Amino acid sequence: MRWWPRSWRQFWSTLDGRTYHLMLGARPWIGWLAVGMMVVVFGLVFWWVPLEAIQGYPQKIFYIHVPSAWVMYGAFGVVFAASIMVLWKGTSLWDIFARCAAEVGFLFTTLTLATGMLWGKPIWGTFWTWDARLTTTLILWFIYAGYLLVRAFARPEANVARLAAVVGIVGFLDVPIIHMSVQWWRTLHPEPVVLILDDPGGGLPASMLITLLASLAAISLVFAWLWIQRVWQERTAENLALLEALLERKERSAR
Amino acid sequence: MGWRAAGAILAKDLRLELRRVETVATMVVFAVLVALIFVFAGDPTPADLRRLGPGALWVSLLFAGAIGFGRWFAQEERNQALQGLLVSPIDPAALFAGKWAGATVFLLALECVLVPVTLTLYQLDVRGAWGELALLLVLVTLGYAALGTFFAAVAARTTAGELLLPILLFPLSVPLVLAGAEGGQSLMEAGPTRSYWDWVSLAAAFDVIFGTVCTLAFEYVIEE
Repeated sequence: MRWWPRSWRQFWSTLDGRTYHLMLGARPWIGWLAVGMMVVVFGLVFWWVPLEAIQGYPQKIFYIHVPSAWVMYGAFGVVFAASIMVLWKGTSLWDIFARCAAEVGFLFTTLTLATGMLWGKPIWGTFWTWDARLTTTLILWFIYAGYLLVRAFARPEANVARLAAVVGIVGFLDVPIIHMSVQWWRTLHPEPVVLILDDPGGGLPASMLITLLASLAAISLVFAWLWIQRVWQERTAENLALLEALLERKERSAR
Repeated sequence: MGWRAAGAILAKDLRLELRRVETVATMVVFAVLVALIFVFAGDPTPADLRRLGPGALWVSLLFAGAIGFGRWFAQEERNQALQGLLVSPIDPAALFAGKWAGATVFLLALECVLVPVTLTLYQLDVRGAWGELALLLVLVTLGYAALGTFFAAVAARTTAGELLLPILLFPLSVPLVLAGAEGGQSLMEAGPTRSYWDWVSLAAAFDVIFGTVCTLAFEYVIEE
């Protein structure tokens, strides 16, 4: 028996099926791991990691805010990659991947904005300033709101998967340009503190870095779990619709 | 790519618009009105006016464009003209290029009225750098027309239609607005300096990237 695919087409369809089944199998593990990691992270944030000298307690929101922002970019990266696969392969699983990643990514963008504003009030004295990164994140929020609206309002006769894929690709390509233009416009955000390469003694203290990395792992797992959950729902809905259509046809031919 | 097909579509759009100048004429009035309303929003001193001017110019252009793009694309939907174009042996990229060129021409025509009016209303002084101002206007308009034509086609594929177009278009146009407003401002404050050329090159890069991407991706938007 040959184990290798006969054609590229078959290769992709087996990969689709295998990926999906792998995801389904991993789903409960990822869910419980996410819950466990979240508990560990809360322990680290509230009991273990030392209080930051200048900012005090408000600084602790950093451990949720920064990983949320990274996961948000990761999610939109998934939307971009899956959108390209939709145009290239046209299988519905990639479309579902893109749609669900956009939904969960949108949630994390909202979280990033909300936690950032909560931090900004005590530290900067204001909920909102027109700093480069804040502005870029807000624009990102609008871009993916538009993406989800296109999906919601697409005409029945339109090819929603391809239409949304194109919007996802154009939107993602604009993000670096928006970021650069807004950066030229103004900037006030704290400079990146996680890794300062030209100063080995600088950057974050080890305890804060460990907490941040643990939180990044936890929030990534939460993202993965929510995403797989949505993919499973959408896939199930799709299969159900297919079964209904088959059943209807069978009934009609029996009559 | 079919340059002749693109040219034919551009010629068709221009002929239609010249026959009934309603869209461009309405947009001119609308854009000037927005520029005017901007003055009422504050109680600006002449110094405030000069600071707000370049931004007001781009905001009114942006709003007027959002109205225009939807209409220019909607005229293809009437009597299934788009279906006719789709079954004809025209490359979708050529179709996009023609529509894009048309939208650029209409917006530039609008600017021929809007720019002098805004310069007067906001007491702006170009310091003789008309060529540099024109360069900036053309580059920003090209990019905005590309995105506008593209997303008008996307919005036409939804039931929300013209409601959705500005929501898709405005966030993605931020780099263009910044290039136009900031580049224009530095031009009027200090002439063609380093900062002006930075914004010009940003707009040019935007045009190249999104001109290419939108032309290539248009096929997936209009297919049935």
